[in-house]
Amino acid sequence: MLRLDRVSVRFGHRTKPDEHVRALSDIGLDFAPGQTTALIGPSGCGKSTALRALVGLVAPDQGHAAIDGQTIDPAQPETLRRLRRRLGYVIQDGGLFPHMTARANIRLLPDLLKLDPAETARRLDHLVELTRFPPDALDRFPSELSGGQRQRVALMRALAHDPEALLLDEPLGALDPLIRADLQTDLKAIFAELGKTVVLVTHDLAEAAFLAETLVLMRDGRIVQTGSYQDLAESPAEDFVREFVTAQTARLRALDGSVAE
Amino acid sequence: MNPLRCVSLTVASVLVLAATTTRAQELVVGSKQFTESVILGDIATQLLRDATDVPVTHQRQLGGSQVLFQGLQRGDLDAYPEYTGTIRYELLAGTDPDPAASLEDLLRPLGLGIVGPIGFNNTYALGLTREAAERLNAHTISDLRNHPELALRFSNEFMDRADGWNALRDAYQLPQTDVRGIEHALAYVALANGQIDATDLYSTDAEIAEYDLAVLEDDLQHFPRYDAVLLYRLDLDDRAPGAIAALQRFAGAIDEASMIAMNRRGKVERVPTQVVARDWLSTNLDVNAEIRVDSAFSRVLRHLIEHTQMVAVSLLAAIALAVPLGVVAARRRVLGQGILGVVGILQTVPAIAMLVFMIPLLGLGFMPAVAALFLYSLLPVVRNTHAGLVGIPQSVRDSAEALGLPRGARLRRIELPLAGRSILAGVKTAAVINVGTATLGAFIGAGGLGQPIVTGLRLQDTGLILLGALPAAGLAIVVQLLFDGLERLVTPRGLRGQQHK
Repeated sequence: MLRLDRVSVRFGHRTKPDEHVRALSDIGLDFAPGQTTALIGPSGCGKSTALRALVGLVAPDQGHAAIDGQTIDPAQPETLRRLRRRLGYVIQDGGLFPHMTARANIRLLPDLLKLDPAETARRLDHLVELTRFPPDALDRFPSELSGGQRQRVALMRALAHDPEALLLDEPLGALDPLIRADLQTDLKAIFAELGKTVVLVTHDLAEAAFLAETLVLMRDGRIVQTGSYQDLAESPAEDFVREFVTAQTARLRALDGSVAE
Repeated sequence: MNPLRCVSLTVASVLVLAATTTRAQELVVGSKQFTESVILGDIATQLLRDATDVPVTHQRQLGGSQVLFQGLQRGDLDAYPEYTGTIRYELLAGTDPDPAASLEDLLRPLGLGIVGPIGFNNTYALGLTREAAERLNAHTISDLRNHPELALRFSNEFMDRADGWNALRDAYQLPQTDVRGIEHALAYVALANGQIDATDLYSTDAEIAEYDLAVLEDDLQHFPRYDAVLLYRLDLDDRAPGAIAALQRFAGAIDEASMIAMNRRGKVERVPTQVVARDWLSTNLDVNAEIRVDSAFSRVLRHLIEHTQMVAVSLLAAIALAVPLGVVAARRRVLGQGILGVVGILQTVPAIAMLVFMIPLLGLGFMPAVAALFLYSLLPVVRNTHAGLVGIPQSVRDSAEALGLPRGARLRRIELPLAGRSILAGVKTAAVINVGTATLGAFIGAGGLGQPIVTGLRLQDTGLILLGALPAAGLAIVVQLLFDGLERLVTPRGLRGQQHK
């Protein structure tokens, strides 16, 4: 359902094409429905830009992102808004609205869409349980929550309107290792429980391997290799893949033995 | 909130306000900022009250001949005392009047008439202390040529007028370079204290005798005659039959000695000008006017209310325009730079100039003062709205957009609340600045706490100045506290304790 169709994105000066940085070059990707796909790679490889193109925060210079064949086009705000409601997006630092309580953050969109309040309340209960969020903290403001709690709220907000797909941009990037490991385990359970299409951006191979069925390794705005962790580890497409995997293996061992077997 | 709708709403409300403040059926007499003019204005006011049934008000102590003349032409004023030399060489100077034509003929096409001469000539003169005159051996203006080191201080109007300092310097070839403006009422004190060497005098000023000043002879007959007259609108009789006939009684009624005596009572003895006017009328024209001199408290209260109204109306109008402008500026970078530039330039226009610019558009009184304050309020509010919106973290903005919130909801629910404290701080700045600037409204007849300050300056009465200055300072503090409280009240818990942008 979600796809990137030969997407190219350039950043830079409008009038000096020579100085443009190609953030994405001709990226084509189909995201398997109901599965988790991780976009991984070093900083600046374009993985976040690819995710932002999916949610319409970046306008491709060529190609397009699409949901079920409908183009995600920032130039058509009305259509874009409708399509975005089929997506849930979580950003690295949560992007919570600091002037609203956790509950208000989560309920903002459902209430604006005038969804049935009783249904929204039921859904909120379910999400609190799903994300193992302390219910009495729902009326706290983001500044009164821990980093891990904030990300759980961001996740609940992204799921509140029951989107078909979940897009996560380094959702655990700002957390300390202990909380991070904790939340990784929870995320895996949540993904399994929801069965939604998930696109996850991370620079951490271990995290990607732990959470995603499919890994997409990127470098300099291009896809280097797509496949499972085994594919990348055992039959690297080029030297870069081998280097990337080797460099991160030490940390991988420390994480979950079952993934590195 | 649709920015466009907001702008049109503001314009509409300003227009409605303008329409409703259009003058009711009444006569308005004006006067300048020195005691003689105020006394003559009071006499004219009491004469008109005696002769007609129409209510008559006196806009006292307005800021300069141009303000009054423009107000008269626009119909904001019906009559005010003026001087022949000023009319010909200053007010009509731009039209290059025929030297042979009479003032009546020159003024008629403007819809104005003239009563007088009233009977005395209040010409400009140069004066210094008797002691200095003897020390410098100066008896005529020509003698000043021998003393280029003198510090000359002239009334601000004399500095700027076509028939003022520039013409005098050219006529006498005066060499002095240390020449600056000073408030006329203060010049006498400065002269007596030896802080300045010479100043321009009005020849009927009571202070000439009071401070025992030497008046230099105008040996080249440079200064024209400044015969006191009364200017009025020719349509006066249509609105108040008998009014012009009443004003005609001024003609030839006051000689120089009487005027100096009245100036002495009003200025040196500080008898209220209404009382001076009433006494003169009952003695000379057998008119017995009833006057009501308000208590100091009720006057201050009235001025405080006027002041607060000016500040509140201008501020509300400014918020209604400036917040949408700030939103537009934050959304469109290039247009935003333009908007910030324009409101920034508005801020650099000196307040007095801004007020005077408003007269041709909006006349005298409340409206032009509010309009000027409105323009001054734009910058802080636009700038802080812009800064508040631009300062919202990118991740918050991305989240709001990715959630698929409609633009209006994003603005209302996310962006404006997050920029709220910054906007409020801008409004507070504008409000406090306005409280101070609104004191200048007295120059164009808007009243307010500037009124006692202007009167206090005229009479060199510190107590009276404080009667305006202290409430104004108090009001500024109250406004500050009010907004501080408001900020605490409207800041959501989630934003408290964070660093202010």
